[in-house]
Amino acid sequence: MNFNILVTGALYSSQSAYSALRFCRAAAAAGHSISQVFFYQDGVTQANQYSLPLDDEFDAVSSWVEFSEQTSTPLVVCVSAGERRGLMSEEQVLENHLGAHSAVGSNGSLHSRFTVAGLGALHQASLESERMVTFK
Amino acid sequence: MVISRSWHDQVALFEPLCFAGAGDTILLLEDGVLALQSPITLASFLAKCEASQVSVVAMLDDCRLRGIDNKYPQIDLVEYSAYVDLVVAHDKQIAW
Repeated sequence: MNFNILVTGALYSSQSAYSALRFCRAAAAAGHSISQVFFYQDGVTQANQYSLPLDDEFDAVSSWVEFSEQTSTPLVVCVSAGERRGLMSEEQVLENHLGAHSAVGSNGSLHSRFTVAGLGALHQASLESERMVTFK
Repeated sequence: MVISRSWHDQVALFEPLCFAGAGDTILLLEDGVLALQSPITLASFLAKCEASQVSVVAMLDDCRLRGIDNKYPQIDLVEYSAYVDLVVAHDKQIAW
């Protein structure tokens, strides 16, 4: 079966990253496919490449990247939700005329494994997948 | 349906029942498992679920993380593999 995953919970102030990752790994282990993991609202904070947890803490960003690399699952961040929270790719930094001295730096704050897209990507994946599972 | 908020938010625990019907399953996830620590509230909740033929399960990991024992035979503790099976078995998932 094909799943579309929606994550809206913030990094650290919700358990959504941990729960969603556990679910995705269990789904992949059972032979299911995940069309994409879409990060929306405060969920976009889970794509911040500058998140640096302590060594003995759960590292959500690295865990998402590892899962994506292992399963070729696309990680998609809502462009508007990201920009409102300072989550931007290098291209967005240039488009918005933000420089190296801005909070996100010249490289942007978005981890390179994540891509940005509009809500249309969520809608399209919802139409094409058999189940949508939300983690708040 | 998935309830991931604490029962202290009474709406989070009881409102989903307005939308649940026979054959549905409610999964207590994350802080949703804290309901297992409230016998009076949970008794009312389970009675309503039984009347509506709604089954209730709770995430084993989240119970362990919070040091919660399940004293209710009506509630099965499940792992993430079972969560995946539940999603497959039900047409839709609603997160509260």
